[in-house]
Amino acid sequence: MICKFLCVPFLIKAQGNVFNYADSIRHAGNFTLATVEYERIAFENASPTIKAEATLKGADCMKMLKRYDEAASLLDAVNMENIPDPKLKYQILFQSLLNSYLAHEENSSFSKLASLCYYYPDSSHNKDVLFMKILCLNEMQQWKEADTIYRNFMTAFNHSAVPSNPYLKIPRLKDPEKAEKLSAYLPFTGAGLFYAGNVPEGLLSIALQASFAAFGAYSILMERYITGVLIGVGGYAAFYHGGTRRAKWLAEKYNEKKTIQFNTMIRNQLLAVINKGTP
Amino acid sequence: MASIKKILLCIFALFIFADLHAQQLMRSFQEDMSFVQYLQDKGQYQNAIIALNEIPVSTLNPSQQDSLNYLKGWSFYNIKSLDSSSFYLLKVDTPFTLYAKSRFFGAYNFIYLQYYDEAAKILNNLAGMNPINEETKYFEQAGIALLKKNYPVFDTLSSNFSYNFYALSAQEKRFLNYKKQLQGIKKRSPVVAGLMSAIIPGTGKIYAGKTYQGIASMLPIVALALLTNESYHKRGPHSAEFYGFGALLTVFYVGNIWGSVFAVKINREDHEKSINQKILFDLQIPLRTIFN
Repeated sequence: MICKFLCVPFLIKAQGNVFNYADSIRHAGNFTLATVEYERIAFENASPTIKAEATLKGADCMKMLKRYDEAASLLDAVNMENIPDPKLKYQILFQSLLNSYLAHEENSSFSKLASLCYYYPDSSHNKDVLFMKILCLNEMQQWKEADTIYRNFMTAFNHSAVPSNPYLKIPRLKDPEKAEKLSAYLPFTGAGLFYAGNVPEGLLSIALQASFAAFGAYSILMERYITGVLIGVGGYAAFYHGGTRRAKWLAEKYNEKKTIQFNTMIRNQLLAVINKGTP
Repeated sequence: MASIKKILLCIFALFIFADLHAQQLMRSFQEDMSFVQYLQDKGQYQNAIIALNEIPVSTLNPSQQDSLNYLKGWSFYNIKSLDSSSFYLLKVDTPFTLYAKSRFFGAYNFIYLQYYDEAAKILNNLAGMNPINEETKYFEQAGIALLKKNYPVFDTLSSNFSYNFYALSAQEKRFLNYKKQLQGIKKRSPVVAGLMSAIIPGTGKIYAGKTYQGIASMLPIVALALLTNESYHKRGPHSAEFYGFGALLTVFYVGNIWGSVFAVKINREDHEKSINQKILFDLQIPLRTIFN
């Protein structure tokens, strides 16, 4: 009996030391080797908790190496049923969600977020979960829903005194289809390009289309039919069709730029609030 | 008495702890190999290479070094680093169980990298194998001959095909078909292609086998010819418009002839390349079936 009691602290210490070597490599900054060592721990140990913890740490190293998709896949493969510790389970789910988000897999991260909130209903008000929810919804351009959660987040941080809610200035996005149609149905006006937000290109389009059309008409009047058709009509048609495609592309780019700008601004504001902490 | 008992128990506990710690630092080679195998099974070949690099080679006996080289070679093969894969696979020595597999895959990597002579040398040195491996050797050698377009050698080697082995028979039959396809590629003349495009623009490319390119290059030349003709008649032979369109027409016309000459060579190379890809693919399939 005495023997058992005496051995226990040493055995516990020995088990605790399982991570020592891998941790030291990670702290030294060699994340690639640390990933392998954590994988070794997961392989050599039968305990589901140690396996899960090793995988979590290995995924963290991958995250440091910006191998987000691999980290998410590694965490997704963890057998959660045998892990007794709910906190560890939560960490695995959360890190998997975070890595999916960082790997630009917005839909996957949102579905992981939904399952996290399902398995851990209490966690839906956690600051980190709220933070991720806002980011995911922002990426999917569901800003109205994100606004509600943003308010909850600020309340959780007791930060209601934010100068102004950024969601009051949700960017007005352009409809790429509308831009394309405007260019197609209103030739010579550059309407599609103006709508897409590019005035100089709109003006240039008007000038080019009008010039080619005028040249074509003039050539035909001068009985130079081939020149009129091939240069005038051909040139006009090329810029007309090019203009419609360009208008659609510009509208898509405009939306992308505005979305990134807005989402980055919100992310920075949220991070600033988190770094400041609860007053 | 009680204090002696306590001291003894402490020593015993320390012994257990020291043993556990030592186990952590001094893993056996077998444990390392099992771990590498586990990583390979999970498709983590890059991590497997890192784990293998951690094993001190100087402490290993020849058999263990063979295992190490084989696993390294196999990991590199799976991450498509074929040069490194061959380097390690060909270090594997004769007594090793997977010697034949290492040699065949080492040779295949060289074939893929177009080091045909080195690959042939490795295969030629393989001897004393079972019937299926012996036929695989002829099969791989025949593949090299086919890739080198050395048809007499291919005929000699393919005469060894028995078509009795399930893992090889389909590919062996396909090789005979590839030979026919390669020999069937028409030898078109670049001069004829150039002349054809000079007479009717674009037809040289059609003759070379690039029909759509031929039609696409014909259209602007016809358009420019019409414009030049109209400028000549409406504006006269000394007008700037005539010179402009005429110059453009000349550039397009000469460019098209030039392009047609090269189209013959490019089309032939494209055709051969697509067959070579099939040969390389078929060279690998039996190896994976036989040795996996």
